[in-house]
Amino acid sequence: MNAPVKPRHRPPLSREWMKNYYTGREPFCEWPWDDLFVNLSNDTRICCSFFTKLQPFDWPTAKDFHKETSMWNSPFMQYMRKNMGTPDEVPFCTVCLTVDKRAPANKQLVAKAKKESLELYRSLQAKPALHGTIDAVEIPLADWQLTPDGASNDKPVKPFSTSKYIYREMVQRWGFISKKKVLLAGLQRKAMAPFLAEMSDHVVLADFTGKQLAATQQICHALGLDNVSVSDLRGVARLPYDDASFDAIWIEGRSLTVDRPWPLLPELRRVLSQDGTLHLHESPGPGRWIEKFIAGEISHRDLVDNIARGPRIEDRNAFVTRQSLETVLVKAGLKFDRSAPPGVARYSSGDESRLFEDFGIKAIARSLQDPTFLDRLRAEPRALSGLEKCISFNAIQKPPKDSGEADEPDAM
Amino acid sequence: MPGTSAIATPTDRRPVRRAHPRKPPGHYEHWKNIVEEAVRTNAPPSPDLIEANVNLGDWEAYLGIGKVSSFPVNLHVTITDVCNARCGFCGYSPDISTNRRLKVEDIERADWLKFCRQLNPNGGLNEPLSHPQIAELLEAVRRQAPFVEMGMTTNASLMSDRLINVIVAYFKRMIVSLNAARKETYEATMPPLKWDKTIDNLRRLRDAKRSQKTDLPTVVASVVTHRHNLEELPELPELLKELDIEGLRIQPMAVRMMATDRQLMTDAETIQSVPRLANWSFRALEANCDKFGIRLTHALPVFDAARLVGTADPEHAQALPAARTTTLFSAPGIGVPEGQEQAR
Repeated sequence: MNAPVKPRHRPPLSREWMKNYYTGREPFCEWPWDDLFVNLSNDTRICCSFFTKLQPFDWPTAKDFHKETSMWNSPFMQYMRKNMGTPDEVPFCTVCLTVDKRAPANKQLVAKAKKESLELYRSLQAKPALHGTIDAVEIPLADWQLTPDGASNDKPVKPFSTSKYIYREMVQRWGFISKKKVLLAGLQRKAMAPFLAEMSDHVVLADFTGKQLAATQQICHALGLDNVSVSDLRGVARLPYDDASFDAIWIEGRSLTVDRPWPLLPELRRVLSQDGTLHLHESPGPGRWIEKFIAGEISHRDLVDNIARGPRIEDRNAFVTRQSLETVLVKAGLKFDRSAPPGVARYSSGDESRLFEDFGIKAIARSLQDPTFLDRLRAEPRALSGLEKCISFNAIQKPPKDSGEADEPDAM
Repeated sequence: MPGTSAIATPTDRRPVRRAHPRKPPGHYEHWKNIVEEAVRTNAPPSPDLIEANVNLGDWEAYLGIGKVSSFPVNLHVTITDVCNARCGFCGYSPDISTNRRLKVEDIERADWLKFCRQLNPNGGLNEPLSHPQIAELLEAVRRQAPFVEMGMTTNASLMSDRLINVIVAYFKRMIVSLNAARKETYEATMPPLKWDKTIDNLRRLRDAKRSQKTDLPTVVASVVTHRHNLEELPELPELLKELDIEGLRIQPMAVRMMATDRQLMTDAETIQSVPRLANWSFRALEANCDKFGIRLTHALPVFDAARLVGTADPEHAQALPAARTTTLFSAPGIGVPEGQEQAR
């Protein structure tokens, strides 16, 4: 083969603008006028490497397409177009147009541009009607830094300034907007309560240990949120609420592992309205229990027994996997809500290497029986890499069999 | 070239004024009137509507208009999040799938599709033909927008006769993820897909195009290159020629994902780990593409011969990462043994 070796020189620009570079034309991005990406959640983007998901697309008709409430002419889209190529350009667009945004050397620059662009996007987005005065909290937040209880690496969080949008986006992502009556079960994460309360008519704060009730209520009242009431669940024989009395229930994953003499999921289903939403936030995955074993908090025997029993939510050793969501819910008359893609957090060792070759529960259980594998589990930093740490997901009432709605098969 | 030097922060880089490169044809008001009138009267689809919308969008970009009257020119819609392949370089796994799908009703409500020039039913990691109602969905798009140009990326393993007819009738472009030139490599890279089935589908697509006397859709084969398929790459052009595939897109494998249900290929399996083999393979591929009339969509990489590991600096030859034996390529005869690469 005598094919000539062709020298290649890559200009310091994002690959989108190579043609401009070689034809001597200044890059100008027309994508906000031309392109629309819509995913299955109806989240939108303008290009393949956009810095965030934009306002959901509601598949409008042609007549409604250009309304300002619709995605295509939303305030941020208008801002982005109007300021393209000006000093007020969206920072991410500027970086994309002037340097190679994929080059490792520009990682920090791109991260900063993303952050600035996200702040801009959030400031321009229409907010739902909010109760309370969270936005009026003044900085610094010396008195408002919260420390999550029970967390192994207790670090203060600033939910009412730096993390405000994260909490709000979390509440919106799981569909807890403008609900009439919400049950927040488990108050390990005290900061969640005000963000649920500001978007709901009424929130019942319920705690299985009773320890956090007063502090959480105090925070809500201090933020002008009087639409909360408290409920102590210590020692109750069943949930002290009427059937179908809540439009939505938010339960913290750590509450699943609290001792209680009554089955949790059937009770939650009983108090949830027929078209209500149950959200299980950060339910423990199998990795949590293996982490506890490595930390010496549980014995090898307990770990093996627990994993071998498989995913379940009934007892204090509860854990779930993404694959098991359908089966663990069906026993309680609930159904995994596909309209809200589950959030699966996995352990990461910083690269793609991992100790567990197979993340199936049976394979994990088999590996844990092998003494040499246990030694590696304790010694290797990548031991947990790839394992499911916790899973957040929504569940809905399973329709009665005779309603004619057949269950869809799970994903391939 | 303005604005290409390194500056510290995004804010510092902001332009004084970056101009739109070209003035669009006609007049802004003219195209705006056509599009608004078409919306008001629910005008039937036509190529003229698409042209008016493209020109209106260009004018709005040229003038820097924020609140637009045009519709998206290019629409990219995810129609499913399921894939039927488990490629050795792709992070897709059933875990990330919710089995949700775009509904035919959504398309039927979108009476503005007739303004769009292009529609791509791809997005994220999925196989669009795994949508159980794909034919109905595409037919609905065609009813709404008979002149929209459709293109998709697919592994071509699920093409039934009905789907082939729909594809030949409706699609302008198709990218087929082939990823190999030999059966063994294909089936090791893209399990559980079968080489014979995919090649048969592509032959039937070719025959359908010939019998309908059409060149559309134009088909481009896509190959993610890694050390296990480098050696066979020069064989591809002849196969593509036989299948009436007009182009070839070569993408070097980038390792950046983890799949939960299987071990993916690693850095030791990238083409960078075998630079001399890569140079030989790409030059031979270029020559065979010329010979069989296959268009390469992208220029192929060239590794600098002076800096090749093991050529200029013998000590570095020891540092060349050995190929990790993966479950994918542990079968004898698959992939390229390290010694063979050295012999080039």
